[in-house]
Amino acid sequence: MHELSIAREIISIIESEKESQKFEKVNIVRLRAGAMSCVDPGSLSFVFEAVREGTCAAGAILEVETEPMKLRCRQCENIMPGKHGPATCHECGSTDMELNADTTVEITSLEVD
Amino acid sequence: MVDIKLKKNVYGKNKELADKNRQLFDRNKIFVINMISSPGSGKTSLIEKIGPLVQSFAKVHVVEGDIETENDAQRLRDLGISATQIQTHGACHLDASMIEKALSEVDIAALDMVIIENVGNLVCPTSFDLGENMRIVVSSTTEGDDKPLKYPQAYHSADICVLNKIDLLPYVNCSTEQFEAGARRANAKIEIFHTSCVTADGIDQLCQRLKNALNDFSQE
Repeated sequence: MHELSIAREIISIIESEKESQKFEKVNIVRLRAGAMSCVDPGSLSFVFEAVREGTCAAGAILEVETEPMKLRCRQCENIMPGKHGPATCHECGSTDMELNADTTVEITSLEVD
Repeated sequence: MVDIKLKKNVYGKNKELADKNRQLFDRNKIFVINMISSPGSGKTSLIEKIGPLVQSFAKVHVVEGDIETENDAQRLRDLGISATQIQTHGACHLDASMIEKALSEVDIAALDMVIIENVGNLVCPTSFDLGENMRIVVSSTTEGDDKPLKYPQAYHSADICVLNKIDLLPYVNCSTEQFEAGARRANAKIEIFHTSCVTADGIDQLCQRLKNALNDFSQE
């Protein structure tokens, strides 16, 4: 949710980088979204197309890499892919599992001219 | 064509403002609580119950967040609890700048505790640090026992979980064991309280926990 405020913040970060890094236009914006960030890439791309108008990112594509959810075994510290819910550790067989994911959404790189 | 590597958090601006809030609260020795839940879990009712008890040991102010109306702040003022109402007119969460603005109109130097009741929403508020010391997620028995599985972020980010409306347990399909297992899977350290605003079950224990937290904070 609130993809609009995220898209606006992306443009704000880009404009700030344009000042310091001296580029003219942005072609690609690459984003990393943590597994618990609740960002929907489709919605974000949709609103990004609206807010990028008239900026140096007017023609930019948004590439969002959403990290998969992981689980951590509290007994043997093994980290494995999984969803939130009952699970068994692939290493030690324990069911004492917890979520291992973050809520961060960050711009990882810009491809610019 | 040039590739510029960055590591820019899109919530970075809010985080900066939240940290500024946190410094302001620390300077004034104010313990701040952020309460998050779905609409209708009973956040305002809980504050109505714990507010007068907290007032016996702390000067408390409540910041209410809703999309529209002054209803919740007025309910608290009617009980003698000072309250500010933020009406977001559309925003689905409170953010650090809204809290800074709301509290700029209050004499915070006179306060010991601020309770923020966030907009009813179990998704978006979890991403917005307000500068709080403690985050409480409230669920109610009428919402089912799989809330922590459906909305893990809210429980993962909270310090305390309150399962409210326990007086309705005989009438609803809610297993407290399943609920607690789900909450602990999202967050091993979460402390869970069971409450009812109708019978007052659990209210004293929750207040005592907040009193302990305030004491610990005051001694830091």
